Amino acid sequence: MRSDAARSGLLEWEPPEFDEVE
Amino acid sequence: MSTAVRPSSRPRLAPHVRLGFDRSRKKYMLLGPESVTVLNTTGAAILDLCDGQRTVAEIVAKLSSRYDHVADDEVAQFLTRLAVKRYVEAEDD
Repeated sequence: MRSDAARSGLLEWEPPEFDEVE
Repeated sequence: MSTAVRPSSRPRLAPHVRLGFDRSRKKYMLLGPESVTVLNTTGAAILDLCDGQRTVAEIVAKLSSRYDHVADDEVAQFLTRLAVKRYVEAEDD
């Protein structure tokens, strides 16, 4: 089962995140 | 200068931070004088496009040519959180 992203040739979007290193 | 980043805002990195790539960890990072902030790939892709010229809407459009189903509200919220921490500056028209 391929995802929409794989079928379209685009990368899968994931929510942007950042982690501060103390 | 505002911390709320809107679709019409033109964000850029603050002068004291730069985007870098840590080869050993294979992670993108925001490097400040006394801080290191680790980014995921979409976060780095957003910041790579923040040149102070493009609006957030233009950044989302650009990302949409590479990513599937880009969530424009997530992009604006991500940049707002970084603006609150003074890592990003956003000019409004």
